[in-house]
Amino acid sequence: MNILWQARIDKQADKALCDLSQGDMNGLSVIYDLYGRLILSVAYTIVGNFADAEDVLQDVMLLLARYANLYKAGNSPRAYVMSITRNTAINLLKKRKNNLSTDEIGEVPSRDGKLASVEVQDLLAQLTEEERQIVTLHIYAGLSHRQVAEMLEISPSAAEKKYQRALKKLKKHYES
Amino acid sequence: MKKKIDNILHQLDSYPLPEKTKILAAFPEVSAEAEEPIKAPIPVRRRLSPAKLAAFAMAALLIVGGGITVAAMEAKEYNEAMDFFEEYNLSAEGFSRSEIKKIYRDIVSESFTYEKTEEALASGLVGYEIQSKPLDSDGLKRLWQMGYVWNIGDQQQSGEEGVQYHYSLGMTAEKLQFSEVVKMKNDQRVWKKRLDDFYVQEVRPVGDHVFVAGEAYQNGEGTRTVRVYLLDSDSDVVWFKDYKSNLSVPVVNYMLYQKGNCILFSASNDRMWILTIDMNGNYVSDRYARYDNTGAKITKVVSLGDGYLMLKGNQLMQEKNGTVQKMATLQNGNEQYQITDSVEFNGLVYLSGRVVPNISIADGKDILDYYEERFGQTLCSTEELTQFFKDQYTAVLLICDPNSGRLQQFYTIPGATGSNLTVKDNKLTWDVNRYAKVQHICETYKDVRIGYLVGAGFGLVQADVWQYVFSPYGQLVGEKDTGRSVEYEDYPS
Repeated sequence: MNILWQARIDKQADKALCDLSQGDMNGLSVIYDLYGRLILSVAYTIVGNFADAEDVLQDVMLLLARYANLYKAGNSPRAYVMSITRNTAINLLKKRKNNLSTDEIGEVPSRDGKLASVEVQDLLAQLTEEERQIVTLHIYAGLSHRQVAEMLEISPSAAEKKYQRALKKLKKHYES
Repeated sequence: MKKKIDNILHQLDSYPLPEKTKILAAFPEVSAEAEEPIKAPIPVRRRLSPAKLAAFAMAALLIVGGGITVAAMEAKEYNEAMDFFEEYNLSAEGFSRSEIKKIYRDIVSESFTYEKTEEALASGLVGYEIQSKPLDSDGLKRLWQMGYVWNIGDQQQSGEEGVQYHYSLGMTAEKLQFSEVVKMKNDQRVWKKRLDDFYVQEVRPVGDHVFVAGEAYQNGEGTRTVRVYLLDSDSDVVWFKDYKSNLSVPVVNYMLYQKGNCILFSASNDRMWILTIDMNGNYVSDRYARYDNTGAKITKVVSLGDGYLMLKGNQLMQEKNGTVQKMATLQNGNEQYQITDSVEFNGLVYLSGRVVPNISIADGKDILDYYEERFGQTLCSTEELTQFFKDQYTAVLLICDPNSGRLQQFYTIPGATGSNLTVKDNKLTWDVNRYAKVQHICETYKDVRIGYLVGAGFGLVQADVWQYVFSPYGQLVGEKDTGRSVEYEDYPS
């Protein structure tokens, strides 16, 4: 994404989150407009189907409203929202995995027919769960390696190394 | 590799974002105060009464400007949105404050899911001749990035797959130094051509060559002379020539490539200069027309009879007999604008129609009478008659705002007439009769010399029925030959 656009969106989102923390619920509506797509897509890459991703989207909006006061003005609203998205998606994934057999754990789960294109599924299938998150959060969501590292509770250099490894893996896959 | 992954991941964007009201249903205070939800209109096929149909057609042709509903909400964001619109030359006309903000958010968040966004982006790109290059179906995002974001001047789509031409100016110390034309293929630069002392105003690709037109400059000052370059596929200059007009400051608005010639439409304050040159840059003809050069630039020109149909901003204009004027009547001299069908689809009114010679069958006249008026003779071969017919008849599809009657887009197909419109499976199908053969009666009945009627029942004019399929946003997404053949109908029942 163009860095200027991203900055423009984040500036608006920062204001919306501040409004929300002061009780203006329309801030939530603005956040939905700005980040709804991002939340849905990032959630998909973790939970593996759009039905669950929509549940995540709804839960994230609830959490944002409930814990709006935790957001500090001037921080990265994108990283904040993505962090909530990731945690919510992982929690949902854990719930789903508890209902799966041991063999199925680790595969990209699918609950119904609401799946992304074959190309997207193929890409995600090449990566581990952690790699999927690192690649998606950095490339698609536009977070820095440092922000991704904080989210995954690893060092920035580790985040970058894992990212490079994932890229190599994908390169090999596409070349073959 | 990163770009490839990014492209693949962005395929996720094609999945529709759930309705905001559904997701935020747990927050009635948001729902109550939030802007209205985006509803997907239910397609309805509606035959309008002739009076209403005529009113629509009139409204479309009159191009009535739509009013803007003012809603006092979040002035700051609205101002930011308006700055954004201005920055990218997007037209805010016809959109409410609420819609402007939503479009703004939709674009900057790169969601491209709001239905009005397409309308806003398409506002500067309306008017397509289907047999050339319709709007690319790759999507709104691509349209946005190619049409608005690349900040290197204007761009022109080529007939070549994946090729665009962009152009820009090199200015220093308030003086123009040079212009640059860039050829892009599949988002990669093929070449960049610098043209010194030249102010580029328009480009027109023809095969793998490209015409580049603008004003010749000397020492950073305009010379008021139109200069045209022809560049080959390697960006080498095949030729360049200067053309002097009587206009005070000619600005090339549009270039139309037609039948081996390039037609330049240049305008000053009150006049238009229409210059035709051939592929070698040789002068073919020129003429001047009275023209009110205020408001938007001409974005599309199609040939229409002796003159031209032009789209100027949101206004449909006609150049005829040395005057460029708004199309304000359904009958204009020797031409009639006939609406043959209408349908309401996804909140827009589609009018299928045709521009035909103003021949009164009731008075016993036909296409050959018209031919006679033009050429002083009645006899011609089937081949000539077919070509003449094709030159005179044009199918049009007008896409209008149902409230204001404002024309938003139009499509034309030369040598054809627009027929039925059908909505099915959230797609609109436009039936078009493309005329293949207009049989000259003398070739059928050797001794007959009169009564060359073209009309229902005579079976002399055969057309192939093609179907053009449009998305709910008015984009052409497919075409097919139905294999059916029909006769010409003077006026559809």
